[in-house]
Amino acid sequence: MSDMDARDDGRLDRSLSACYGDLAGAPVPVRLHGRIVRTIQARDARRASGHGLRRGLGRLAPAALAVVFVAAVAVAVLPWAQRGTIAPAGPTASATAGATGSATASATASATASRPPLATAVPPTAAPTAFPAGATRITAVNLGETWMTVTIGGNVVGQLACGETGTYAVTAYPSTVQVANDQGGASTVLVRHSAPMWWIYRPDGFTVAETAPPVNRDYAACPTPYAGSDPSGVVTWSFDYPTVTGTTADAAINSAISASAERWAGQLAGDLLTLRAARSTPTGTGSLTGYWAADTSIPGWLSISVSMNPTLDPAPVDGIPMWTADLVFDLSDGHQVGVDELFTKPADGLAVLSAQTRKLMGLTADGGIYAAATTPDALASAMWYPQCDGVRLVFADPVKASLPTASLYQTEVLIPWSALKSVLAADSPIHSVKRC
Amino acid sequence: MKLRGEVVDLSAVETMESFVHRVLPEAYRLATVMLRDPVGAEDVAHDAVVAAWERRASLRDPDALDAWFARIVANKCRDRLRDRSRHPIAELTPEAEPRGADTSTALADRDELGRALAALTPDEQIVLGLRFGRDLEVREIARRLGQPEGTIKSRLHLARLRLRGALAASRTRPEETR
Repeated sequence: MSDMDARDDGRLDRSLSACYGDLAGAPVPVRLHGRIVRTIQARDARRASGHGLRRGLGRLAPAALAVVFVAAVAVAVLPWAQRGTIAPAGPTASATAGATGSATASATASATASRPPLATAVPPTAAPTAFPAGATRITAVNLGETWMTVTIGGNVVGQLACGETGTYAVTAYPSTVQVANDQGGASTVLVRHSAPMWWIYRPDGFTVAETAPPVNRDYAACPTPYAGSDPSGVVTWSFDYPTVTGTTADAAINSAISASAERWAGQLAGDLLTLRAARSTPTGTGSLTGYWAADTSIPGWLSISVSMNPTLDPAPVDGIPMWTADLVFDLSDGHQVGVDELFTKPADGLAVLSAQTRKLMGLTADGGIYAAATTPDALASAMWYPQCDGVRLVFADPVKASLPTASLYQTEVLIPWSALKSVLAADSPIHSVKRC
Repeated sequence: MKLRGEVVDLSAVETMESFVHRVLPEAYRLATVMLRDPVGAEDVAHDAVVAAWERRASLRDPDALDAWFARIVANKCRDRLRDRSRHPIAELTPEAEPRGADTSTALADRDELGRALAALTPDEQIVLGLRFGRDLEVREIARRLGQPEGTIKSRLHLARLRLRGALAASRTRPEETR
């Protein structure tokens, strides 16, 4: 290779690094986790339905049945065995930490049942952070997870319910610290700046390290269980929705969130009852599960992404996908923020949003089958969600509008910030989300 | 030789939701750099995680999860890139975006590079994504994709050659055709 070629390759490599570097840190979209879980659950349900079960059982020889039994025992026993070995909470843990987990907040006492024993805590999967020399204690606060696990030196030293703060002493060096949600993950994108969160202190009390920018640490959005059924008891629902504490508009926000939960549970239960009634023999039960994710990463705003998963048993009906909704609240007064509030001039902004929506959805200029839903006026009340890479809009599928389950069919489009730059309000909180 | 019990161990211990939680970030990151398309990466990550969960019993060596999983993601990306080359998507040019700062040389160069990358073969795009998006060395790329190091080196070399050729050609074109 000549010197010129080498120089060209060097320039090209730098360009490629810059090009790909923009993509490397892209956060996982808010709804993707729930979408995957629901897909797997739906596939499992279909496999477990009568046809698959009969076919599967017919093929099983007695010896194979014995293997299934052994595997089932393993499924029941191994998780406990594994947790016990990964997360020891013996004398070492308490001696190392000298833990003094103190609950300084009780925002979600009703949302958390009995505290699980430390031995069953799912250990963090994120890489541990080295403890700074000279630090003596760690303070951790859980602002959004059902449970948060704190690990020091590889040992689980405490579990904090949502809203709780715990302080733990560290006596052994070198040490590491990790925090995790109740599934072992460091956190989710949905609550990336709020939970888990921890600070490390030096003897003089000065904070020397923390995992996240000091934003929104003053309020929590904690999971609150919501369960119920329709009057006939045929359709039941059970899911958690977030309840906020610590804002100046807790009451207004929580009232709107709980009202939404009740409304959607009722509406989807009605849809399932309609589907059930349409069967040749109207039997079976319906259930609703949901995934409500609070994103507190935008100062001044709380964004909630909702995904509901309706099912109808036996023999789940194909084509009942997730049902989604987005809620964005202004923390100062609790009002629900419309997408038109993003723009300096709402009319101009909505016009640009409409044009971009139609372009990205591959529609004709007049919007085609989405004409009514994508007019500037209609977009003013559209479901939207602010993301790092743009505005996500959600639309009902007009082709299926005549079906009783029309609300279950939706499509999404992501409008990149770059396409809206000329019309975004300069003082909008949205400018902070663009940095995430 | 791996015992059957180890296979049962892997698939039985972990719940589906924690599995998804564990592998999804890597799936999305891999798909994003392989496709250079965060929106398309959502679909690929979705399909890859679902496929991985359903095929998890076929993973004999739990220590090889990352390579096994990367191959699933790469296969999904390859399919999507092939499909994209058959049905190209019109490039988004925001109508509302004012001309000026954003039409700087750097961005124009980036656009050219993007077009040149899109013209590469799916396998070349995948290798470049792992090399420059995930900052992986040739040996690690080879391990994850289950291919010989020589193949990866060759793809990187050819991809660079083709990129340089495409960029040189675009720069010699008359300005109005840009």
